[in-house]
Amino acid sequence: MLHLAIDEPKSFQLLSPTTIGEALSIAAEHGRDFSYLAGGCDLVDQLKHQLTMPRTVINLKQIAELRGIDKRADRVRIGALTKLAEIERDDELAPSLAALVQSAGRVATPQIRNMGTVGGNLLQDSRCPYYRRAWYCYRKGGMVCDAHHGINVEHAIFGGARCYTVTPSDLAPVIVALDGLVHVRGAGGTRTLRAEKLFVSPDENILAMHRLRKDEILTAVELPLRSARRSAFIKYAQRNAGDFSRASVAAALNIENGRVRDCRIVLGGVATVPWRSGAAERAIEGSPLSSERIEAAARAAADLAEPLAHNGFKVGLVRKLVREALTQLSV
Amino acid sequence: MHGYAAWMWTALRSMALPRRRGALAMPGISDFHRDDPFRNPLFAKVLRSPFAHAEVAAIDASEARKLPGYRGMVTAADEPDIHGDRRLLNRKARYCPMKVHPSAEQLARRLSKDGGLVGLGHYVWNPSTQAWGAAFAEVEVDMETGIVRVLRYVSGHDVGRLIYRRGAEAQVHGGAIMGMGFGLTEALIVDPNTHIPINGSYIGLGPMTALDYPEITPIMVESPAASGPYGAKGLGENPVFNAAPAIANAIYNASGVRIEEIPFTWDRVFERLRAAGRLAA
Repeated sequence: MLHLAIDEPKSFQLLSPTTIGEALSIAAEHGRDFSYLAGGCDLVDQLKHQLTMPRTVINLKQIAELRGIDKRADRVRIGALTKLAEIERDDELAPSLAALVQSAGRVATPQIRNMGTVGGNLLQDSRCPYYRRAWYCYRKGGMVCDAHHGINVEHAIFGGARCYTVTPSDLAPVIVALDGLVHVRGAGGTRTLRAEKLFVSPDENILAMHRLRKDEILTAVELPLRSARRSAFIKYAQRNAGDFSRASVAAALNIENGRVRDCRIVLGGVATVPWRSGAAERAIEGSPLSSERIEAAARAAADLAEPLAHNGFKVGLVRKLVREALTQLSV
Repeated sequence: MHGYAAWMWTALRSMALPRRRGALAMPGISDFHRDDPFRNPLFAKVLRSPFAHAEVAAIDASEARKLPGYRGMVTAADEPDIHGDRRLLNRKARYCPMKVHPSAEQLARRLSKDGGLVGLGHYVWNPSTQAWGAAFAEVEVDMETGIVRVLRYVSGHDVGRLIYRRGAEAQVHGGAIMGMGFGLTEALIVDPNTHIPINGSYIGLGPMTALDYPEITPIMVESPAASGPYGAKGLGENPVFNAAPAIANAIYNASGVRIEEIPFTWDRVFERLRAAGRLAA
């Protein structure tokens, strides 16, 4: 009998290793027919809609070495299984990594923040409705993007190339803005990626949102702590809770002698990857955070946007976000 | 068999039901009710109140009696058992679809005897029995993005007699939140090319959360009506209806553009602002 049930996963076996090495060896046994489970917020949804149908699910929740926030003098190492709610409630992180704490607190709803993990948030799959539902899009191996000429309210205004989905993660622009490092472990050993390099644009690989290989596990995110580094995160969603961002911004900068140094302005929800706006950074770098320079940076950020039929509002939203974030950092 | 497959099977089976008249219709032997040769046809008009639950004060049939060809009229007074419960029909207009058969038979018998135009009239309607309400919204429209935020919301309702104040106010709160979601975020979005809904699940449905709506101020107005218990009137759905129109008017007042279609989403408001040349660039 053809199995056409909706909202019901195909049966799978659940394995719960207690070390990363054990998880990797189980993965090696199952070839490509498995999925890693962390918080489950994205994976269980995908299993239920039969978007992925692995025969084996490897539960990483029992692995202690993936947990915990390790605070050193010059850096913070956040285990991939750390819950978003733990970051949100961490008072020690708040002054030095303001943007991270703000973004963790803006993800979805309190229930999801108690379930969702840092690693899962960074590696979650596209939320494009045309990908998640009945259309046979490029990202599923198809040959048309119905979102491009459909209702593309939540789609990309930067860097769209056949696929116009946006990065759904709220932490992604933040770890890019804070110069984070991503630690990964796979069958071939460990490697470390710069946060920017974790994400893949559709013109490079339209089937993937991130650069991890099938067997690799994101073990931790490492963020440098720099004295006097200011950062901010702002997100606009259709509703103030429970929605993915229509657009968000993470900004980080130092102020030396009244002038901006080392500015990072990264936009979320406007491109398939966290979109670092070099034009906005150049507009504000080396100058004081005056309202004229902030306005110039806001305009530069939205300058080369290519909106689709229904997401023209994102151009104004990018300007608004950059303006608000820099204004917040100027006081 | 699960969900969709079972549904498909049922649908296919129901399509295969035999049509008995089909065989006669093919060679043109069958007759249809439209082909019946009516001689001296009778025309009847069934009259019902345009307002559900309205108190029917009187039935004014004077105009009907003046019409050419008028033959007779059946009112509640003529048919004591027309709906089983005479009081219902006499005083209040109600939906009563299940009990219509015996009275329809009586009506048909009477028509076959007398013939002719039976009746035309209208209810004399007592407006004091209706529950009225008004909503007031103060909004902020971002002229750069089309984002609409409701800052304050006041909803006033005529409840007849206020019996339980906190319950009534909670009803207004709930209705206002639903109505604002109806006006601003909630919609079934259908892909224009494939006609498949793109948000056919709880994700993307968009009912408002506690972080989205503003302070809601309910106002209760009492004007007791004879129709309800202790003079009370209905306050069920009323608080929902006027939220979206109030927001639409407030958007017009704030930004100068009329949005004709709910919900007033960012992209829709943005598009109207752009078309009107009012976009802040």
